[in-house]
Amino acid sequence: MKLLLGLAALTAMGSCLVGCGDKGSQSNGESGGSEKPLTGDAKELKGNVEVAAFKGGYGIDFYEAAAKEFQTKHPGVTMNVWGNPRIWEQLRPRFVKGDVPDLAFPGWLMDHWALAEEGQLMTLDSALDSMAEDGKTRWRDTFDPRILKLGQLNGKQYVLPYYVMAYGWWYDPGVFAKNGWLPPKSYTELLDLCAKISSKGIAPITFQGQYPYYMVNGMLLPWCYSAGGAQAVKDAQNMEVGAWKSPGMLKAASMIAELNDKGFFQKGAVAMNHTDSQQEFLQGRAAMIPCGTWLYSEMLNVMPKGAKMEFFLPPVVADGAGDPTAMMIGIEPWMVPTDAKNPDAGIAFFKFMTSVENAKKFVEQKGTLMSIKDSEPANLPEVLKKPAEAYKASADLYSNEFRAWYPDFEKELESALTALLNKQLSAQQFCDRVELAAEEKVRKNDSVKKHKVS
Amino acid sequence: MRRAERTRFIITFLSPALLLYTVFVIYPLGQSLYISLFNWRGVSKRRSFIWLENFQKVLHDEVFWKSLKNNLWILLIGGFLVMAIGLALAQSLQRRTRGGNFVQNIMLFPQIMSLVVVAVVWQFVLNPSIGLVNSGLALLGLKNLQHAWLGEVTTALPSVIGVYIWCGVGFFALLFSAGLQNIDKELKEASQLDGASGSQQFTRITWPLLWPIRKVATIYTVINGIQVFALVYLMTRGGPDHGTDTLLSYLYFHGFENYQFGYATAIAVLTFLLTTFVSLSILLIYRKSPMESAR
Repeated sequence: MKLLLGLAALTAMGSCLVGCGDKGSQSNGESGGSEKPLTGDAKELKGNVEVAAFKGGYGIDFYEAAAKEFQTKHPGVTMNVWGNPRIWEQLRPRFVKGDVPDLAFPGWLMDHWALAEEGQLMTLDSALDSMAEDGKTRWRDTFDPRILKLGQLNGKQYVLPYYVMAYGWWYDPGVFAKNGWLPPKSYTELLDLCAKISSKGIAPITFQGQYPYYMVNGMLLPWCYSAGGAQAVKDAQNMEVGAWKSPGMLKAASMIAELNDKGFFQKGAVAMNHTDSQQEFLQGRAAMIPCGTWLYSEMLNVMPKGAKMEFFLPPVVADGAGDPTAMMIGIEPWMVPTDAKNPDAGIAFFKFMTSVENAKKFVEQKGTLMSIKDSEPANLPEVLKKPAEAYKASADLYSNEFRAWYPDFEKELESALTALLNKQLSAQQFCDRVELAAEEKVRKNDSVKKHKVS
Repeated sequence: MRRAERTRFIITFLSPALLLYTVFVIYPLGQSLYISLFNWRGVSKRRSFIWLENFQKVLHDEVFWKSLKNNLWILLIGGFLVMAIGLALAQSLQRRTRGGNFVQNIMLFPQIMSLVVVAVVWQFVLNPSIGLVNSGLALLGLKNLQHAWLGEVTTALPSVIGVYIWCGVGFFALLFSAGLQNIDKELKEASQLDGASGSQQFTRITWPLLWPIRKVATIYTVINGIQVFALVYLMTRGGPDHGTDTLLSYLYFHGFENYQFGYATAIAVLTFLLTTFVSLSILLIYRKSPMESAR
């Protein structure tokens, strides 16, 4: 019966496919996205506006409050903001059916590039060229261009960033100060520090073993960048032949293997989920953990009294080819569906949310970096000071894009990383396996649309 | 006329059930088969008809076979143990003792608990740092036996199978208890008078007479074994390195994370065919009651 129910769930969307007046193309849909542009210049806004937002660590209360303000400002509109932690599951069949919200923030498990490629998203360039909420600046110019470009496909803007997540490592400054330790800047310093931490009976590093992408973003890619330079990571993302077994990637994998062999990772971390390992860190059983800037808000409710956390960039390879200030960031994008009934009001609401004033409020309330320029409030949350410094000082911001482009490849990469951590693969074997996955799951796979990092 | 009336009568009473079955079973099945013939990402109506290419790819997919193998381990080891322990428990509970009553009262707890709760509880129990299992081993001075139970390839699947057994054993004990209570006591008493030993009573009387229950239990075990999803997804997400992936967790990945709906549906169709084939085979094996052949 469970299987029948499973089949029913799979076919529920199929019902839309065959039952809702199927106008679907029988071709393989390789053309680009929708050419339907959104101007964002509508003078008088009216009607119902549905905003569907992912309810993650930052909740949706901010968007709800902003919607109330927006409605007061535009009495003609009726805002309906809703969301939950698995909103993409509800939005997918609605996209197929064409019954979509006016503004969507579908969360990290929605393949927004698939939506763009299949004509489900409006292009937002004309909207970005309109005036911002303040009426003085071009809206495009209010965004950090390094972040804005993460929402582009084939030179067109399909999705927009809001908050920015920065990836790095965390330590407890109280524990470090008590022991006279300093956050390591280089890999050599890291090895020395790990030995000192180990001798105190504390695990030097823990990690989210059941979700290996934390380690991909917190160690593998940053160390590949550090050892092989920006191009090494770019080539890997672009699935260039040999890029996943390049000297930079091999060095990064060897560093992970070395830390593992020396016993510097917390015993058993490979079995831990994100909250388990983050709890281990907060309880002081592990001294450092790789994670994004959402860590604080995610763990706030379970933080033991006296526990603190501070951010630092992953230690770099001394004399490596990569810029030591480079920082990995990520966005969770917002978009306007092509079939939206009130897209002008939808994008106007997003414009309202991205005003410098609202962006500052978001930083204050949620403790995250933003894609909006000058959005750093005077009273920046303590936990955000270091990430903000690193973000400002960074000569290069880069993002893991292949995870969204090629989930099947990412899964194989994560499996191989787990095998490396379980000592079933050497660093070289790890690279060989991932390179093979790049060949079979991406390069040779005709049903996968190929992308390039710009 | 009477024949026509009878037909109308049958149709009237059958049609609601038939209608529901068609809408909720036949139609989704047909549609799954249809979707499995497409390359479809499931985010728009765009898709391309590719005949049986999805099936061809699935059959050449190493992880699919690995997942099937995991299912078979769960089915063979987990299924066998859950039935064996269930039967042993049922047999031992036939004599009413205070301890037996207590066991009978608590053995169904795992069955009535939501699988999400079960998975979370066992994640805590098996937690490598603060879990009961590792702490217990440390207390006993067996630190060398400690493991990252759900993170190591050698221990993850056995751990999941252990939880699977823990969950299912109560139900099977209850099922077999009902079967045992249906066996005529006089038969046992007569065999006792004839000097049959305990094991002879079990193999010559209890086991053959449990045939209808064994049949139901086997089909139930097989279907359950092939359809393991929630436990795996919640405890390990199929990891480490696909070490606990099952057909349905792999299907879920392709349908809902990899956005290859056609491919996922092809896995679903193959799983359905497998379940049907195995269930029919069991029905065939159990088609003749041993009591009938004894007559």
